[in-house]
Amino acid sequence: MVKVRHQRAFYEKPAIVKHSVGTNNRLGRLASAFPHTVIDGVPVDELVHRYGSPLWVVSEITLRSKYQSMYRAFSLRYPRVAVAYSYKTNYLSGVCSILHQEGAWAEVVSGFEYEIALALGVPGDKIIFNGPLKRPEELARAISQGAMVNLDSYDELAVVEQLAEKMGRAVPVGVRVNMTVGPLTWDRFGFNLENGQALQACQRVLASPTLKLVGLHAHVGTFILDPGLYRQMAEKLGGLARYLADLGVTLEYLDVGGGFASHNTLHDQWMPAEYATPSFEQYADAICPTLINMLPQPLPLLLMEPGRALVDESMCLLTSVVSTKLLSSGQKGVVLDAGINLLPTSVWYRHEVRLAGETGTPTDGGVMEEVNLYGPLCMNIDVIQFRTALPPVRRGAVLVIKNVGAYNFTQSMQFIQPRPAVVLVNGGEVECIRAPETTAYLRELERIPQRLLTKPA
Amino acid sequence: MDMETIKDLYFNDKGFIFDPDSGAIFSLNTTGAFIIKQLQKGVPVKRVLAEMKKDFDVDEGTAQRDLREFLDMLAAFGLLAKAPA
Ligand SMILES: Cc1ncc(COP(=O)(O)O)c(C=O)c1O
Repeated sequence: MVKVRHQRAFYEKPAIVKHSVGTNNRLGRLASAFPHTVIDGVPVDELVHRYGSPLWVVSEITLRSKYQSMYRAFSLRYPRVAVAYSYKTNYLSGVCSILHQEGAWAEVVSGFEYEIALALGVPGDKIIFNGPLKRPEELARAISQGAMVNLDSYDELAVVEQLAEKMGRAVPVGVRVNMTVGPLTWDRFGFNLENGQALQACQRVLASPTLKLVGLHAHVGTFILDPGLYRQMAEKLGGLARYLADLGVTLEYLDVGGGFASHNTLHDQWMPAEYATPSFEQYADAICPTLINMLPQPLPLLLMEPGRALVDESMCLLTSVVSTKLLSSGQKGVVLDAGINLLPTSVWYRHEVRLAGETGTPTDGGVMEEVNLYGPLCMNIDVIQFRTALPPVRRGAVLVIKNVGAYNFTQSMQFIQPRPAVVLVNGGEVECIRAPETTAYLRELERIPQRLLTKPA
Repeated sequence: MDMETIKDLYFNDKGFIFDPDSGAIFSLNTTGAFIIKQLQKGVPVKRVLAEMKKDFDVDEGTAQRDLREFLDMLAAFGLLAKAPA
């Protein structure tokens, strides 16, 4: 006799959510209702199974296509351009190498970053050396290797002048210019344009017997959502270049810096990234014609130093739910195995968070819950996000935190937890590009004086 | 976990609940609606657990943990009646 087995229904964690005016409790249009199960052909579950959780994942194809679209947008609008990747954003060697294969130059702000670029085979004349701290020996190396050095202060100018005397040759330098455009008023880097310091610094270089003024550099802010601010910046920087041209100075390059926004959403940003983030074409339209109209021929090389706009979208962080709890406030808390130790940009961004698995994502009868996402650190500040809408999750569920390639890995801390592995995904293949840190690795540089190891009698 | 009984609520099959005392409206997913329906019929919590295991593809431990958390949510939203003394 055939026994008919009762077919049991698909189970999802029971959930109840309270409606409040003005929010979508039902699935609505919330992207976070939909799972993110595969990264470039590789199932997220498989990645976690093989490499553990948390895990950084870099998408090679995204990185390459970001570079290509930026280069295309500017090179179609200006005759000579180079894109110098801002190393500080993410100097994982695997990430930088991909961008260099595409043709990116390197923009570095320390001797340390400079050495990474050299180790990756970037020739000196494709390195831009910026920043407030450039040690004399680092400057000497950069100069002898033909790097572009942008002066940040009169003190630095004096150091380079001394080096030039010692080397017995003329040294080409650029001048970093700061200015006010719209709400952006970064005035601590370089020389101010509005009060005349920038022109003075240029004249000081021109008067030097050993220095040669070859470029102007500006980087006016970061995550600049308004291309109009780039137009203003180009007008001001171009104005100074035009003035110098009238004095007979031929500049080799104009460097407009980085600051281009990525597809992320700031906490206080009303419009989400998909509407608010301008395209590379919009940025290039603001910058290129402005400079072309102002500057005499031959036009100088146009340099960009993008950071976040190139790498943010190429990386996500996989993290697992450690526990769920009901808080005394009535809100739900979800504790993850990754926190602000790995995601310092949680402070600025409302990162896009998706569930990795189909299980538990809303089917027809599903609801979204509002939960607070906490990290694993035993610290009250360890919050990834408040009030994130997610399908009901339980311990072990894997979440994908998207667009975290910029300023997270480089600013992540070995605080309480060592840092996890980084893998590179390419056409369905996975390669580890940074092994997970171990206790031994983290303690390697420590020395314990012998006298501290003897037990008191 | 056997003392919970649900308050008198307006409930529809699409998973909406109206609490006439507070005026609050809630949504439930399928499993949540299943549990509320059982509680409304006066099924004791222990039996609700058994019913969940019978109707859904879920193991005892998971169902138990989830049910506990769900009841805590109901309590937090003020949807449980005071247990009879
Ligand atoms: C001089 C310079 N260039 C480029 C960048 C890259 O900025 P972003 O990531 O906003 O493009 C920075 C970042 O601080 C910078 O200081």
